[in-house]
Amino acid sequence: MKVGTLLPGEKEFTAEQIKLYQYVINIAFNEIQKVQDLMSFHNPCSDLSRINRMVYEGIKEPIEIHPWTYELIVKAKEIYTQTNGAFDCGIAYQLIKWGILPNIYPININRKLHSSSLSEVELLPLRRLRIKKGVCLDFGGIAKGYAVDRAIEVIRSCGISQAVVNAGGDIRILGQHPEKISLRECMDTSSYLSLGELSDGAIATSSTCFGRKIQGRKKYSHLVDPKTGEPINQQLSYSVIAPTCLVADALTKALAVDKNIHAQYFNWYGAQPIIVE
Amino acid sequence: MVWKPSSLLAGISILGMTVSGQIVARTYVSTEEVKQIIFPGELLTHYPIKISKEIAVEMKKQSSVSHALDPDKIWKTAHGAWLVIDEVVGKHEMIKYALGINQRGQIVGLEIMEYNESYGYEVMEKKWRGQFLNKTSKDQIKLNHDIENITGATLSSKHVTDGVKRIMVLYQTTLVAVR
Repeated sequence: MKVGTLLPGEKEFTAEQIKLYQYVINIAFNEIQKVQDLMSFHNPCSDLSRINRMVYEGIKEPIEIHPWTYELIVKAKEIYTQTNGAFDCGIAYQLIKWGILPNIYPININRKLHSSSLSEVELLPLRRLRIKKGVCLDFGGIAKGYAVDRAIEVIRSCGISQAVVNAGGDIRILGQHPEKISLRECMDTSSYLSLGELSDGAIATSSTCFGRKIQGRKKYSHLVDPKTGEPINQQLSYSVIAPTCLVADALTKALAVDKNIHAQYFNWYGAQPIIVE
Repeated sequence: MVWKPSSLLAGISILGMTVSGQIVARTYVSTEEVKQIIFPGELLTHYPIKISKEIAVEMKKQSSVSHALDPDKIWKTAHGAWLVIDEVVGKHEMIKYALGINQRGQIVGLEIMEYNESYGYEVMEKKWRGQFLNKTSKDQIKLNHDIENITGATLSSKHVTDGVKRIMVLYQTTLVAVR
């Protein structure tokens, strides 16, 4: 994960303020690091890896997970339900098959795994989780947004009223001062499309533009239709503006699948979808 | 959330409205769920009470919590056990929690229901909350005395501890006498 600059506002700072802002930036980075430690597919000690290993090792007993992971999955399941499965974290099998994620378990990538879905994850009280059937999760579609939200909360709790956290295109703005938001164009990366101004909100973007793998004639990216298991191939950019970055992040995936800017779930979350060609 | 789309977006698929959003509280456990967690399978009857001024003063004196307890959020089982849902301030935001007391006056459960702070979430940890189990109104229930502190969560742990204390005062002065 890359994190961009954190801007408390444009004015002259006193030495005290600089010290405070440096402290705040540090703890915001720490917060994001903590999320990565818990949610990364590549980290064998992450909660995500512990969950995925349950299937690989045949563990049927529930495990206790970190409150942040629990919170993330609660929210992910809610979005899964609201989007009728257009958003689903259970797509890691496809990403492993296409070489976008490493095959670390290892699993038989030729198996048909249409049952791999967030609906197989059962949340129990006392922050425990149980897997009902074979599932391989990836939090890549939601964890970055969550990390940005957490960073903003930590910044807010330090008494900061205006800030921007930008994690590789997942952005959240704290404060009423409007910040300019723009979209980097797919084909010409030095060109930007202005999307306007945003305050007290978040924007996330998904597209097939970057991080694409090519196998034979087919092009694969991290965008998958969870219902068919097929890659999403059109060269479109899917952005969502929402009150929180987690929601924005997750809904870009639903937008990429359904391509329906009038879908009910955008209204439900107070979100604005944008599809750009 | 306020979004002002740029005029250059004409001709591209957008919904051009401004929407005001709000941050939703991060609820971990609902009222119905917490009833199941603390008193699984039991029927809980809503039992709002009236807290007299004297008792309210006593509760505040023994716990130092000034935010009044909502006397509407109290439930009773058929066997004389009690569930109280209360709120205390963490650092900036409120912490909503539930306390279960059995018919012998012992704490049988402490669950954090809503936690919106960015720090101090350690009060949610089972190990910390486990310290309260089996305590009665005879116990001190005070941070750094019979309840251990958590580094980095001092305010939250103190306020939750004080909140539990005031509920136990309420139990001793009012609830235990209810038949």
